[in-house]
Amino acid sequence: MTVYALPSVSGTGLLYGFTAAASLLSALVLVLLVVVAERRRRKRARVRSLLASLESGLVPQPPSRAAARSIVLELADRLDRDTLRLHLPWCDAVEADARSDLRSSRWVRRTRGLRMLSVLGLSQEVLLPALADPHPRVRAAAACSALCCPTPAVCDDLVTLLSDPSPVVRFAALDTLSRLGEAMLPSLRDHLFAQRPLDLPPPGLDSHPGVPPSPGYAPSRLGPSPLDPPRGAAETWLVAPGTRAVLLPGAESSGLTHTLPRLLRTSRLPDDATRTVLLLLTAAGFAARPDETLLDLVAGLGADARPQVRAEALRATRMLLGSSPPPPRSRERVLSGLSDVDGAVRAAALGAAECLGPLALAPAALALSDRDHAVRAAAARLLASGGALGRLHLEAALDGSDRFAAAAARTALSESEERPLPLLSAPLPGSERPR
Amino acid sequence: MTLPFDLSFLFPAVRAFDTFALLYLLVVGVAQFLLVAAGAFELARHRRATRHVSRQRLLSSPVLPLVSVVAPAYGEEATIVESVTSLLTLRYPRLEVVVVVDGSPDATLERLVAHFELERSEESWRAVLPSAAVVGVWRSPHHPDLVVVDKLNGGKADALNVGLCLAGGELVCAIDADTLVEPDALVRMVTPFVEREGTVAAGGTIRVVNGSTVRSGRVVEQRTPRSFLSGVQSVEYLRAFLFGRLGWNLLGGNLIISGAFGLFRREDLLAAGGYLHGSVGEDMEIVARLRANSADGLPSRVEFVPDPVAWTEVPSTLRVLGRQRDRWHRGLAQTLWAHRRAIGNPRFGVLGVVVYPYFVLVELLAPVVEVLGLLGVLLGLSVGAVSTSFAVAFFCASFGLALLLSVLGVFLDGVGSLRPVPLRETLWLLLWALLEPFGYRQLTVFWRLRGLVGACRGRSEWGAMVRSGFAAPVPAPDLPASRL
Repeated sequence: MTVYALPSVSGTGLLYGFTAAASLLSALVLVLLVVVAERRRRKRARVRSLLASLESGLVPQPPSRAAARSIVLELADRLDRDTLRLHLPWCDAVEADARSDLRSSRWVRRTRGLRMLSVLGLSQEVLLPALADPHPRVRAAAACSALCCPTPAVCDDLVTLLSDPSPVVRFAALDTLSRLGEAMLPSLRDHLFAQRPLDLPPPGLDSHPGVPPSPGYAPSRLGPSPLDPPRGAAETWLVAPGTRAVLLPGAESSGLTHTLPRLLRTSRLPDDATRTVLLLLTAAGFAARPDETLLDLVAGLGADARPQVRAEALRATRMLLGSSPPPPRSRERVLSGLSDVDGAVRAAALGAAECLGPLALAPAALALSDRDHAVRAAAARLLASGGALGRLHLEAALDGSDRFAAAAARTALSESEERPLPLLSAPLPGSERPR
Repeated sequence: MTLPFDLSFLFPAVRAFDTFALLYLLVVGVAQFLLVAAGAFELARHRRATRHVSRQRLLSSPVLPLVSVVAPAYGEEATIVESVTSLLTLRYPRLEVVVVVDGSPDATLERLVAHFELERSEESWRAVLPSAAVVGVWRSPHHPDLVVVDKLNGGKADALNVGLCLAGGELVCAIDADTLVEPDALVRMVTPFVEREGTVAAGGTIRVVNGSTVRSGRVVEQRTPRSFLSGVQSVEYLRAFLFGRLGWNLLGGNLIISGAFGLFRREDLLAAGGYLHGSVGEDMEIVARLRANSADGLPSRVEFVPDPVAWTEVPSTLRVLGRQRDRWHRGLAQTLWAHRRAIGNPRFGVLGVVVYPYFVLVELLAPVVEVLGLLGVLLGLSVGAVSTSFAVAFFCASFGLALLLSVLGVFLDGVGSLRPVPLRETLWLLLWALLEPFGYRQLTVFWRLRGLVGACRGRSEWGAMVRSGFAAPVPAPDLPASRL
């Protein structure tokens, strides 16, 4: 029997063709790789050579536009704007290119232009249209660049960008606003006042229209995650870490005290502790002096069964008091907080204990040996702000057998050397002192 | 050719199977090319988007989320100190490092205690996820961001779950303890979370550290491995990450975040129940579970970021490599089986209609088709159903496809790399790409097939992974005298 080998001509041809095409493509890709690598190498070499010329005091010939931009960006971190212009004669050309890029139809060019102008000098007239650019990447770049041009009009637009549909824009606006700090508060306040806050209590509750709303400050850990920036400043109470602002329309202290329980019920904030402290801290924002009614309310929360509420109440006490002497009930709460079973409460109590004056130093010295890391850190910070006596306790801890206490003391001492130690200014209980 | 017996009845079956193998090769080739094209497009888009973003600005942002790096450690005494050191010095403004020593029988914990001067600390934390018992929590007076957890052995998933519970960050970076992370990798990995809504996980590129110079937990000189086994693995890694996962970005279908380096939203992980115990592919399994949220309209976006780089030591012996590949394929099979309801299911969108079928047909069943294809061609040759030229062409086409894909991976690496790659290292990569189909590929097919059989039989062991450490690079053979 003869077996015929069946040739698969079409299949074979296809396969050989495929192989040939793959080999050719591979070769082309390799050539392309070499070309790209070589171009990059030359570009890097050009920039390095230009930088070397500048560092040796020579003024090199005007390079290509791309090299000029690279040089400007490279030196922007080391030199201020005026020095940069002095040493780089082609800055004007780069700036002109950047302004021209802003008019480009390609968003990459507009972003590039903004980046260059943020280094060379950015004006409101350039920034405001960029903040309204149709492409989100350009708006985000403009929001980042706004840090060097924080005029009221720019801040207004930044606050508006918190409602931008693009998350990259909202993040950039949030980042810039948080860096601007108090400079942005007037814009934020006006924006909140113009909006219709969604968390207003229902009609019928007491309020005092006519008293302008005021912003208050809340610590960064309260509120939504930075991964979920708020959609719109009026949609939520919190705006940015460190400068969170809350609107409580028309509330004087007495009105706030009266409406506070109802506000607590109607607020849509995440949990009781957050709601409580946030609203109380808001009161601190517009309380011109420590309000005993509010302090009393906060002290009452210091006996709550939930450790997070107790801790927040102690932090609110600190915010409300500042360095003023505490009323008796608040003092009692702070002292009892120092021996609370929960570490976070003890740490918060140590933070608030600054108001106790020299009485706080001995418990703080003991707290250096606390088993909780946050408590040790808070104790060390309190001692560091406690003048010569506090420093003595810290130095004693350095030589002690407790390595954790020694480490906390060392950290606090080194941080305090970077800043002048404030004098222990809190008076003894019973004495009056303006805030 | 004349045979003493009549085998002509086999011809139609053999020809049909060879045709099937040919078509399979073509389909796989087209799919891979599409992924390459998608990967290249995505790389270009990524570079355009990030070209004018100031990293310095991002590094000092007060609104970046807190990231907890969770690193399970078992049998890592050779590399643990360098790894943790590199983690503590990552350039990220808000960082916490949680090392979970999973009942390691060697001196992993002792090395950590000695080097970082750890002391036991009383900690309170909520055990949201069940796990093996925690023996103790250790902290360093000099590194307040470092937490070391000593627990009874429960497996990698168990260790990760403990780390999840103890972590305080909004984002959790799950990392292997022997992985070295580039200093600014985290700030790049965070970008998808802040720029795109619905992102639940992000992964970065893993590279092979074998052969490179490591100092103080940093790769100071990147070198392509000079040994065959490590070298071909470095080519494999490039292919897998640079167009495998990058390509899926564009198609919205990333199904794997490497367990060696992945970033997740902690609340989503906890809501999903954490890592699954008893799974050998826990990294893929958790991502598949997170992605299953897409059917319910919940956030489920998984991104791959090409910029951030982590380095890992790959097995340098056949035995250890075989165990690893066996385990990976078992993990793949287990995960696909566990989420089989998504396969072909339009409720899951692109995931169900494109991604899962691809992983089943191309990734999971590839070793089966390859082996049967080889056997079919050999049978065809022996019975005369297939001509020699066809067999040769078939092998050439397979080789050509593999070579082209490897070259494209090397190209994307060279073009997309943030640091310049010396030409010499690229040439070494190309050499390993050329040699990969001769022996190595066949071995991986065998191991993957063994893993598939093991998955069918319900095997779930990990096997021992031996590490040699980063301290000394593998001695390289001398190159030709001409300078490249």
